[in-house]
Amino acid sequence: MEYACEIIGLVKRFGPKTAVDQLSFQVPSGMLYGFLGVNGAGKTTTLRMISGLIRPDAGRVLVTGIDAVAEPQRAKQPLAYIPDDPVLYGKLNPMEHLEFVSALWGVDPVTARKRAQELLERLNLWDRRHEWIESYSRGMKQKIALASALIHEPKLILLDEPLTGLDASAARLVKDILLGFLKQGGSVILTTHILEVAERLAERIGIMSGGRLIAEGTMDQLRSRSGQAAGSLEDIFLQLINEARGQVLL
Amino acid sequence: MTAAALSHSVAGSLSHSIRMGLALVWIDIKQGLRKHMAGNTWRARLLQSGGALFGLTFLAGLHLAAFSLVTYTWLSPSENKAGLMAGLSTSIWSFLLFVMISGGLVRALVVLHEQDDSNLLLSSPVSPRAVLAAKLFGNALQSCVVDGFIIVPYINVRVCTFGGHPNFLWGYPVWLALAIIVTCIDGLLSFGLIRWLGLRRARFYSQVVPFALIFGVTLLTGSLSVSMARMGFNVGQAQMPLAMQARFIELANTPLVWMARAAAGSPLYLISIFVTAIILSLITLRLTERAFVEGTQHLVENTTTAGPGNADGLFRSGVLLLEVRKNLRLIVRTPMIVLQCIAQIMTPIVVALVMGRDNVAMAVAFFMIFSVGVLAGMFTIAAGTVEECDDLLRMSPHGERCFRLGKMFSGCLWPLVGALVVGLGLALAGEQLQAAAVLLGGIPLGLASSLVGETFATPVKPGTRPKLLSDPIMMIPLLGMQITSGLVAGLVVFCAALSETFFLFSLLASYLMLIIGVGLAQLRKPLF
Repeated sequence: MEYACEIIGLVKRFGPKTAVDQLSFQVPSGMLYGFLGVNGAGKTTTLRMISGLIRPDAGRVLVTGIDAVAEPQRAKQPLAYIPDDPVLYGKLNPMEHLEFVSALWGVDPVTARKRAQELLERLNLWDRRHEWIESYSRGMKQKIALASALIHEPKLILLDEPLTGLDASAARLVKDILLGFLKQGGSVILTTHILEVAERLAERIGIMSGGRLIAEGTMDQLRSRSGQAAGSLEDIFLQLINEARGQVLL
Repeated sequence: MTAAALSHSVAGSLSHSIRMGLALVWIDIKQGLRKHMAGNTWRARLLQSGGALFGLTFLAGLHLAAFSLVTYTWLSPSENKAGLMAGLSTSIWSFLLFVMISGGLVRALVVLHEQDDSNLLLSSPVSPRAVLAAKLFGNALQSCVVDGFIIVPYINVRVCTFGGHPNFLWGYPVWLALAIIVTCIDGLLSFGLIRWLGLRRARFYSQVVPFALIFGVTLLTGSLSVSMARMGFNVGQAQMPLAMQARFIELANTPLVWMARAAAGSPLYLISIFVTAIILSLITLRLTERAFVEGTQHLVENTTTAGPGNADGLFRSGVLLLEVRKNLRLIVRTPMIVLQCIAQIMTPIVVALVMGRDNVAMAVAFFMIFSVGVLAGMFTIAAGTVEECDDLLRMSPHGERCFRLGKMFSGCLWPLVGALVVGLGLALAGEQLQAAAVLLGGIPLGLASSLVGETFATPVKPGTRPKLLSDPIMMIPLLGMQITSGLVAGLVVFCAALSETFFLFSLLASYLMLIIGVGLAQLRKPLF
């Protein structure tokens, strides 16, 4: 099987605190992987290590088979990362912003302009393309961040809370775009606190607690692991988290 | 080769990294220009036009000052004129270096550690070293532009006067090389400071240390400076005292002359300054790349979060008291603002020191009245601008006026207490009139300032760092407070030194300011 991302024994420590502890999982190509956990579980740190923003203390990160620690620049080429609070260049208009971002990934200017127009039209932002991004609402900024991630046609997108601040129609639009991206063979690792979204979109789900992966698998596998045959992801998630906390306390 | 592979090889190449580094610098410049040129309201345009006019006038004035200084030095009879002129150049270039280093530390902290586009840039395939180099170069350009007012008039005057000396045009590339050197030093310092102290403290000390240095150097140069009283329009009067000539010539024999010689086009010095800039850039990139990529700031910030202090106890009842106490906490817990406020009251310290040569009480009274006038207003502005819960206050059933009064009280409380203490101290020292000047002149001035501050303070959006001095809308009342406080303080203490009658009349100025303050408040946001 071809993997978009492979994490093997990943460790990251901040001073005395171990933020990520012996983390291992794989994301096959064309899959949306839901990455869940309470605040401070280590999800964002993991995404930042995959994106090359933080160097792991131990372990390996392979992005489309390329070692992200040994060859960070090559590994970043097929990758896009949208943090939970993406910062955009407020004094640029969306076309200027997208052209700059595509240039970062080496997309030639003509192709970049064409793709930027397509994305802005799809995200219903084309009519406001002349306005500076700072005048946009939070939801519109989220859409621009998504467009920035898609403009260089990555193979793997890392999304940290992508639906924050979006209204129902915009959230639906983003989900449709992500599903379209998956159909074209792209892969997504998504963290979210909206468990319904993960339940509906993710083929596999990983649950983190205290820097460790406490459960991983499809919804059916998680149900059987938790013993809740008809349980929702929320029920399963809370049970597994409480069990993990109990183990830590014991 | 596939399109993806081609794109891949392009993105990873050195030329692409350099191109993207330059693109990043251009994006920063473009954003900066748009930030300052934004606004299509008549008010914004008026402010921009006023600012541009003020800037041009200021620059013209600086050229005139540079011309006077060069002429004065040039015309002073001396056996070692070359040494004298080299000394003058050295002093100006050293001053530029000093100002760049002090201001650059804060810029380095902001540019290298607090720019939120790092996530985007560092997750791209562009080399992190190219991103860091672009950030450093942008910082150097900014340093050039911000501190250019010191050196540009001097270079222009040297190029154009006394028959023209085009070799001084080398001053421009030297200016840039110096900015790069300073940026590297400040960049290294900023990484060191963050590693040792954490971002919060580093940010604080990066303001305190330059402020203390500038204050010290101002005092030193104030005592050594050319006496304006001895300068005149007659050539015969334009003579630099021999003792001062000796100091300049001595300065020309120190290593600092390096910059002056390079700026005059001396090849050896030029090569050495450019080589230094290049080597220092390479060292900085090499030493700081890892910390830059890993975002030292986040790690250190997370491990040194501030713990709750004693002030986190229960509030007492009473909305006004609650508001005053909350505001005092907000002001004190925003050390950058406190520092900016204190820095502003140091502006007339040299005037006070000159006064103090003959009359200590007068100097103390002048400084205190000025401080009350400026600090009461600035603290009130601070209490307003650091407020992040303006909507919450407006929604409360207690009425807006209560909170506005609370901001004013919290703003002027400590300055007025200071005036009271100093006033009583002067009275006990037997300086009755100067004591009265502080109490009767300073306190109404402080109240007026506080009223104006509350009228113009604009709360920041939640999550935004308050920018007390960088907001052009706030600059006008702040400048107004400084000028007014300086004039009123000068008038009151001089009149108090003359006679009781003059003093009583001079107090009218202070009360007039109070009336104007109330009037402004009533016009903009009625208080009564």
